[in-house]
Amino acid sequence: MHINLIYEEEQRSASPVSLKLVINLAVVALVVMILLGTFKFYSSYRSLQNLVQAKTTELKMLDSKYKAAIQTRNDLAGQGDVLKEIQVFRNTRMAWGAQLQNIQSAVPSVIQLMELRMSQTVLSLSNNISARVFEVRMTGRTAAERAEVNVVQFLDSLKVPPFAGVVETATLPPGAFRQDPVNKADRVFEIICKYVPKPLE
Amino acid sequence: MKLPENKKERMLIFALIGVVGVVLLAVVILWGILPLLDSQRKMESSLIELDDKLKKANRELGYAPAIQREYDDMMTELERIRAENVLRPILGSYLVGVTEQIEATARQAGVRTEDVREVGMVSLPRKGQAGSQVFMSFVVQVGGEGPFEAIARFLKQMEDRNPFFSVSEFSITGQSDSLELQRFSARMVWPIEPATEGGKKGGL
Repeated sequence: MHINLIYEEEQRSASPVSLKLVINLAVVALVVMILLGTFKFYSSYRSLQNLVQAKTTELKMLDSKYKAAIQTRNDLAGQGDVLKEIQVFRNTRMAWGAQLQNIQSAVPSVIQLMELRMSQTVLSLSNNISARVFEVRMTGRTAAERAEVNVVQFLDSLKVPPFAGVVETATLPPGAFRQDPVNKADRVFEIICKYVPKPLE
Repeated sequence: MKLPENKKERMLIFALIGVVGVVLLAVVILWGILPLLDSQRKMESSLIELDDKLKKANRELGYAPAIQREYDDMMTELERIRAENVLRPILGSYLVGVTEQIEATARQAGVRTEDVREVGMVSLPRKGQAGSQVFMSFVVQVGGEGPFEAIARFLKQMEDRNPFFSVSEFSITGQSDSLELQRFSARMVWPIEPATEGGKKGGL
């Protein structure tokens, strides 16, 4: 038989560490942890706030210089377009003075040039690029004897330097080599030279 | 303050304390910790954004001296072209200046000019059609006569004077009464800048 001689409220634990002490220690530890956590969070929050503030200030200080740099870049692009616009005119022109001198040197002495016409057009090439295209039509006369040889010689001279790379094609169109209606002993001919197109870019 | 003796009342007090504690904790979390965490997140994303902007700004500022040099060089080149090669009007007329230039060069080359006629202002040939044009071309038709080599020399001297000058059409025709002299007609083109010059407009 087991008899309790003390009231339930008066019962005490036999452990040397009381429950009250454990609870007190736990509460203190919890409070200390909460305080430490709060401090750590607050300090990292403040340092983040300071960093954001510092970077914002730095950005504000750079802002005017940055805007000026962007403006210069835009101006460079704008003026670059203007420069290209005028340079296209220089880069796509044909130096006709020199071309005429070359043509004069290439004409055999037995051929008389009667007319020379140059025309220029702007045509669209592939890839949405336009180009200046030049065409020269030359009308000449030569004696009937060896006329064909003389004309072919002249035609061939338009396919070698200084015309090679400049003249794209030099042709005698069908029917362009015929008897001179004025002097039956002569032959007249027409040669069409198409120059290498100069792209507008 | 002493806790009640009665166990049930004591438990009730503890329960009440627990409920108040939970409510307080919820209030602290809802109105204290969560807004702070939200603000921290916003600051962190703002910091990333600021870093990106700073990197971009510093990179741009790093390029700035080179871009400025390139811009200055380009402006110098453009001003040189404007000063030396772009035709300027004399008292609002482009024709006066080019007529003097053509006649002087023709005389020097041994060519006789008979007619210098204004064709007008036309657009320069250009890549695409987008954007406004700053430059246009001033076109004149020149007629005259001279030996073939003198005509070639005349065109060459005109072209050498100004690399932006060009001839867009010409014809050289022999004359039945003279083997030496040829008649010529040429369409000559100079670049002009109408916006800055306020030159006289002419049609084709």
